[in-house]
Amino acid sequence: MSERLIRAILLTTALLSLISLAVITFFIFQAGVPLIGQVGIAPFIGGTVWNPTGDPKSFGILPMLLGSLYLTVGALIVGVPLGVAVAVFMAELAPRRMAQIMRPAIQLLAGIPSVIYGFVGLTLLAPFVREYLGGPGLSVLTSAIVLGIMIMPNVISISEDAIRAVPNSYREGSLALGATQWQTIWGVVLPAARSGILASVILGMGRALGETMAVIMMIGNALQVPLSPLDSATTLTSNIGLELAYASGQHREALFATGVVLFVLIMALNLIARAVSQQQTN
Amino acid sequence: MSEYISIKNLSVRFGSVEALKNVDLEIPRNQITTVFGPANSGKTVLMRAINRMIELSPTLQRSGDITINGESIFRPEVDVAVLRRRVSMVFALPTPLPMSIYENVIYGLRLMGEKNREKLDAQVEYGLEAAALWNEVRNRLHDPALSLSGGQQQRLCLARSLALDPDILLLDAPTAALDPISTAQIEETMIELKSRYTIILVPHNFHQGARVADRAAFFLGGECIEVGTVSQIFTAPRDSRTEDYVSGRFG
Ligand SMILES: Nc1ncnc2c1ncn2[C@@H]1O[C@H](COP(=O)(O)OP(=O)(O)O)[C@@H](O)[C@H]1O
Ligand SMILES: [Mg+2]
Repeated sequence: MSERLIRAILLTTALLSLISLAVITFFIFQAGVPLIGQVGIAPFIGGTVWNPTGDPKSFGILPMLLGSLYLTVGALIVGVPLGVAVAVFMAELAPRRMAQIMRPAIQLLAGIPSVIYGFVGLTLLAPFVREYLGGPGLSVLTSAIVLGIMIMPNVISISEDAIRAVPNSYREGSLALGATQWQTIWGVVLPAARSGILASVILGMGRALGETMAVIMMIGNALQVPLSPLDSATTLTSNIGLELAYASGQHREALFATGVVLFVLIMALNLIARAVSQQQTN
Repeated sequence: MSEYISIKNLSVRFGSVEALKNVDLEIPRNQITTVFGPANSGKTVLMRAINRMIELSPTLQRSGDITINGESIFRPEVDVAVLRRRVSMVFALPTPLPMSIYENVIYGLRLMGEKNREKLDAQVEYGLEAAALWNEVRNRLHDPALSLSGGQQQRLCLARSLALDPDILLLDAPTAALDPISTAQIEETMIELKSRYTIILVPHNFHQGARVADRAAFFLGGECIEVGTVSQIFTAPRDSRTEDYVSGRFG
């Protein structure tokens, strides 16, 4: 095999992935944007009634938009502090052997299919929440807890790498000035690792926003604006997942339009997070 | 001569590595003592024993004692954080923390709970002044420390130690990564500082020790071979191994 052939193959695959991204983007926008044009951006995004087959039809996605945002924020609140804490433990405190045992266990956690997570949430956590906290059990809270656990493996492994990459001279410099190990971690190591930790948060955010199957099983799929974490809700993705199979006409277009919103949202969050991380490293 | 730091029969092992063997060494107050010898002779381990940084190593085994002003630093009631501020160490490579120049200098004070702005400002100026860095950075105290040159970073690390008002300075090859001009500045600073501090210096090469120190201790293979005044050690060593080393026959 010549050098040139390998180059050509790699170039082709790179191009193919770019092209498929472009094609997907194009089709989603082509199928969805016209409906947003007809309905109007404000009524589409700000409308609270989603009744795509009724008479009159109504295409307001605010309930699912808020459902997605609350759920994502909730999952980050659960998953990021825990994940970073585990990463700190593994990188700074645990004996080498222990970290070596924990790492594959955590990778295993990342490999569990999301339907299994949904199943556990549905059968174990939801009844618990209903019993002890109230509400229907199938709720934003239940989903956020499970989703938080789902994003933890990514947060842990990326944060751990970032923490391990902090030069040892920072730790020694800090300890030599009389800092305790904990003060050193909090005051020097974590700030120095923050761009990597932030990257793990971005990834977790994308995963939480995009997760569909587990959420369908746990969130109750209620078309309402959730007023409390114990309320049922629905999300942009779970609504698409549930309705696309039978939707036609404007209904189908409206689901694609929902996809456009999701797409823009993820892009925007990524850009914001990137800007923040750049600002902090400067 | 008033002994200030006494190292008594100190042995340090890391697993199977014997880093220090039965070291006895007396270090007088307000002088510069240079600890010199070839690589891996235990100089850094000795410094790290005096501020108890060696204890970060899980495989450490130590015997013997170190006293400062007659009191053992290994007594159980000794607070390591307090000890490390009294016995402040500057490393061979500059180790500025990823924060501003100002924040670097007050880092130790902040940890001690000092919040008084005027006190902090005063200590920043004192530390930077004493480390001969004040004039270069006075107008950019809030720039990141990592934007300084290597020589400036090392003087910042010195300033950071001095801002804590330590009693003892441990300087482990502080000029190893510096250019000749920065090296000369730091050497001058050391001589100025010895009226206020007791300094132990691992020199960049033994000529540096001869230039700035009052006393010298030659280390080889984890043992303290010979101690004396600088002029005695470098002109009339008693031990043939010291003589071989200072006359350039090995190392
Ligand atoms: N934390 C440690 N763990 C294991 N061995 C160490 C450690 N620190 C130093 N040593 C060993 O102790 C010996 C003396 O090292 P050091 O004091 O750094 O020498 P130097 O005189 O060059 O400063 C070397 O053989 C080194 O490998
Ligand atoms: Mg050394």
